[in-house]
Amino acid sequence: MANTYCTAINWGKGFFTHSERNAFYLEGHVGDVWVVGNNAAGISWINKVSGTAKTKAEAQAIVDGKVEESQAHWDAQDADYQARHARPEKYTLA
Amino acid sequence: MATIKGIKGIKVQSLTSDPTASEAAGQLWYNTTSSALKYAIEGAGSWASSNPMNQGRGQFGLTGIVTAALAFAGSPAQKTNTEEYDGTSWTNKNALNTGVQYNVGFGTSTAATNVGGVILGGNDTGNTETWDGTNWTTSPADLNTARQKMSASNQAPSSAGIIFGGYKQSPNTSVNNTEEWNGTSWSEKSGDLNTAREAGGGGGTATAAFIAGGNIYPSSLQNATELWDGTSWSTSPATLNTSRQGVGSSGTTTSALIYGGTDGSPTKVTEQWDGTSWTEVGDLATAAEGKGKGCGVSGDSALAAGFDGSPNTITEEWTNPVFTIKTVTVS
Repeated sequence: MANTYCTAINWGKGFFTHSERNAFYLEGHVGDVWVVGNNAAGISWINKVSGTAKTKAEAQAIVDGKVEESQAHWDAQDADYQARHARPEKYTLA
Repeated sequence: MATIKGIKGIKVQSLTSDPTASEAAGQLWYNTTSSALKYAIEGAGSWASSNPMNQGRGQFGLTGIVTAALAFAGSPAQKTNTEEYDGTSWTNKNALNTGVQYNVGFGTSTAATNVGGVILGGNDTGNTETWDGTNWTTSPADLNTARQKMSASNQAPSSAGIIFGGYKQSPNTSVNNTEEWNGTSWSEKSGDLNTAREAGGGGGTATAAFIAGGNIYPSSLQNATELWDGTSWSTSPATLNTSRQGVGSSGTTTSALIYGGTDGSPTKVTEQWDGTSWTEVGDLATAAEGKGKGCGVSGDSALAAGFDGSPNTITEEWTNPVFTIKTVTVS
């Protein structure tokens, strides 16, 4: 499996470093969901940030829920806002 | 047992602490404190996390350098907030006099110019404010063409910059003209962009600037690059690999970075300019559009802050190259 999944709160500086970005795949999503390269460096990073492991389905469900919240927000906005912003769409995690 | 000295005829240096990674690239040493054999390597550029902004926002002005940046205004709801970044954290500063979004700026964290955008009520503005390191002062001089979503010579001093492109309403259209600020007033330059566009990435100075990407109203994403020589714009044969708008940008005509934006949905793609061509490099960790644009002196150093969406306080720093110290594992 190329990637693994977790939730973790981005605390800012040091949450992920330049060297870590070069050592494993990392992708942040709404709902504090992180897609992490499934190698030793990636697993080490999950431990560093005290990430909560999720299955891909669980991670996808969190992201989908947040997208649905964003869609509801977009639907409630006026025409000017909607003209400036594309309606958020669901997508599939890597 | 074979030794380094026996094999190579040289000894490995012993150090009580690790040297700075950038100074030690390519070297091998033995750390006597941690009893570990170590070496340093030079790796590809990458984005690292930094501390979040205090005020979440997108579509705002951002200028300065990565260790001394200034963010001002933004969406939603035409913010007046100003924050300064010191390379680690954001600190709230005195507010703009007029709330605005889709504005741009140039200068430094101690002397900057903010211009244009959309004010409360939805009208385009040519309003200009100048920052002295403590307060914003509203200039009596406005842009000749009120507009939003323009690009700017972000590395220019606050008293001598240009803005170019953008979008204006009544009627809705993308703009191609260039205006120059001399610290007191705006004058329209005779050289127009070859492709009118909004929400492109830009940077440089009043005499050497660039624009890349953007959108032609209502919906035609661009990948073209144009270069300004102080008099006119010329279209480069080099194009972005990904057409998009709402990007962040840093740098100059010889070394620049374009990151994020939207190609229909938010993207994390980052591209680096070497003066001749764009090359895709390491992605942002989080896809985002509408980040503040304009912080960073080159394509090797940039700050990506904010997001015209959620979460909108995230900050990432770009560094190229990345130096890393590694430990030799002997089994």
